[in-house]
Amino acid sequence: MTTDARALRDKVTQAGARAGGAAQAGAAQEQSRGDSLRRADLIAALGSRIARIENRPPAFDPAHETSAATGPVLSLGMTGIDAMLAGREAGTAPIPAAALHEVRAETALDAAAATGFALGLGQRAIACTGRSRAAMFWIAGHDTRNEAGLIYGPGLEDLGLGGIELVRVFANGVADALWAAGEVAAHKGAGLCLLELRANPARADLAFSRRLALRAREAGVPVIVLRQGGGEEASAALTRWRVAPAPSDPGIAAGRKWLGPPAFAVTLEKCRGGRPGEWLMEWKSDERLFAPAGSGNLAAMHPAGFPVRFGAAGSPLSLPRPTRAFDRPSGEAAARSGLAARRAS
Amino acid sequence: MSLTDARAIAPAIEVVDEDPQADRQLLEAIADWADRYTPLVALDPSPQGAPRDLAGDFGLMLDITGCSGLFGGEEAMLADMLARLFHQGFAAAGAIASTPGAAHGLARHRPAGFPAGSLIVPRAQTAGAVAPLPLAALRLEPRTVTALARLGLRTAGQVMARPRAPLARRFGKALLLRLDQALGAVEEAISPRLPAPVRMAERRLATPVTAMEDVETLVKRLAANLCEAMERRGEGARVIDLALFRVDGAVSRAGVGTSRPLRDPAAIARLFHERLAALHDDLDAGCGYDLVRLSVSACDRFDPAEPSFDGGNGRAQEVADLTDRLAARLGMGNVLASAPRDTHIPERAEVLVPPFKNGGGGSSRLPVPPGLPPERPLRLFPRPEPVEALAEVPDGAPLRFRWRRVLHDVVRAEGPERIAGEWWRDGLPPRDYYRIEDDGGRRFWLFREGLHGEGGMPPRWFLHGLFA
Repeated sequence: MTTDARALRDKVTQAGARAGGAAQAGAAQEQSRGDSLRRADLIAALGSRIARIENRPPAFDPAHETSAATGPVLSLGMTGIDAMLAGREAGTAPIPAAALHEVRAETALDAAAATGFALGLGQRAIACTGRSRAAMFWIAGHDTRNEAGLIYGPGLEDLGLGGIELVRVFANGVADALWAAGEVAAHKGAGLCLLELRANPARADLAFSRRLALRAREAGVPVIVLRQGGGEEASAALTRWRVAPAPSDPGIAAGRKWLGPPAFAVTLEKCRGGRPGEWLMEWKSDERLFAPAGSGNLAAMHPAGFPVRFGAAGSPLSLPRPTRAFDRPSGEAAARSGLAARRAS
Repeated sequence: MSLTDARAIAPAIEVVDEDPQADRQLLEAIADWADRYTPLVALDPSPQGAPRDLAGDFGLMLDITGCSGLFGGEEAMLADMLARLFHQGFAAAGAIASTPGAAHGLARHRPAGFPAGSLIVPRAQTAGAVAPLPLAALRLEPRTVTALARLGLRTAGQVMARPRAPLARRFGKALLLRLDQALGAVEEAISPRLPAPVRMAERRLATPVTAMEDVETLVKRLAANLCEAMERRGEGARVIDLALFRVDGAVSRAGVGTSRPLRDPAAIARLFHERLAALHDDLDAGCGYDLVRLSVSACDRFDPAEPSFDGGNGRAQEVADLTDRLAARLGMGNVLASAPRDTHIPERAEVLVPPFKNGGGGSSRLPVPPGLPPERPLRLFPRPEPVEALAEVPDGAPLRFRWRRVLHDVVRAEGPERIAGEWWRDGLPPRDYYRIEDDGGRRFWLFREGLHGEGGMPPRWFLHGLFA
């Protein structure tokens, strides 16, 4: 900036030489303005450096709003939260998608709901960063797998997450898991790093989370720490979501006992530069986004689709789904074997 | 000689029980060590049923074709081998011959007139060297040896002098085959313990190295040599093995696999950096390694990737690098991706395979109709966990169940979805699956195994997965 100021001063002196003494006062004014400009810039540069060290989006300064290098902003698909995450509400700053986020379940029993929310959040983050073809990495230790099982491919498909390759990384201990998470977070080709931890391991401390957050930002990889059980702890994560399962809302025929889409009671406990809050939300498998709970239910989507199949007895346990032969081969396979039989005869 | 007789002669004798397992392990360790001379090392035991002879049972057969030049000739090689074995505390005898049969016999049965210790027989003198050997040296069955001795035939030369047809008629083909193998009239291949590598590079060190950094530097240099050789042939490595030969004879091995053909020395060095870091506790450099060998045991055609416009191709390769690095540190079986299988049994509908390989048989499962909740759980327990469940009617959905000592009241339930066992594989009892939501909103996948009134046992309940 000093060179700019000098150039400005040079220009002013030349102009002064041409215009004579009348311009002298103007030149002095320019010079003092150049100094103040330099000071403001220095302060801004220092401020952004501090923000970088603190891993905080350097967007608190309104002058920097346009130049803030936050990258793509996180969005969940719900208008209320998205406005806050994008920093459009008063007093909030945009939350980048490619950063460290934390999702935690209060108890191990809620781990599956937290996994669902974390994967939904990850899918949204991947969509925001435009890496829809990159692979997701799920890093889990023995303890988390024993507690809540393995992530199941067909289940992922049913949630609308089947299109992205999920690489399962099984670590033998916390040290290995943290190492793997660091490697994935620093890799520009990875789509999402999902690190699953149980409770609060001592190794995964504040320093580690800072390192992870830095790597995530530099490489542009969304990193989500999924915590089963354990308490809140200081971390460099930009957001921390506490997730519990919520009763699902099938929407139609309120007296029946059917299940609805996955529903979560989500508490945004911490949001750097944002506003914490609580929401009841649903994961929409078809649109791959979150929506307020009970917003689009079965009845709305299939106005006349299902009641025909419910049967006269009205047993609450009958399946509200198109009939499918579960113990028979698929249509395609049956056609193939039929063809073979005809050939043989 | 019985133990009593032995004790009568030397009362202070020490008696140790025989441990064939340990003997075998020791021989394997020596065979590992012998890898430094040639990659083709085979165990060479005496034939079945031969009289127990401790020394004769422990043999190694090395195919040194083309290797002796690296050690200054056959004589120097054999001398070096025996000297090193001697320093490790083994009494060993060795012989080099043109056929495995002759080498086997000459190493065990030193004919009169030959010096003790090493013995090298050129191809032209094979018959002359084999002739004075006793018949037992020809790897014949003891029965045949006894029968021949009864006829007065005691050495190989005496048998060689007899007409062949009557011998074959009387003693079967094995006798002549063994004789021909020893003389080189019939080719005989040895069966090496380890598959021979496709490419190999090694470095012998005058001063042994102990520091892992030095080992890694060596690995990088060797990788550069290997990559040069592979480049000439248009290949890339899929499986790379590192062997570290310690001065005292112990050998440590480490292998890495790659998800695509690899020909980049830096990438290979990075993989071994992770592998060695993972093995760090198991590796004991001791007095140092004096031979480092890098070998490629599987390779594929290397297609130089054409960069695509959006950089997607390069990115996929980078991710393959990442998974390789993770696999090198955490183990090949710990970095996996899902491959669908066409079966209804939930735990078999997905197999985990190394990433970026097109495995699995594909699935014909229909997608869930739009707007409906998932049919399959997000998290599945590889082993269904038993639960105590209480159902309203014997074949209905559960009303409440206890899983891991916590009682859950069922609020919503969908089912049953009956999944029958695959009769063509194993007779698994049919399962009735229910999707269940408890009063806390948690969603579970439970099943009842077996049918009521069959087999007299009440059906058992299991929890198989958790929905989001």
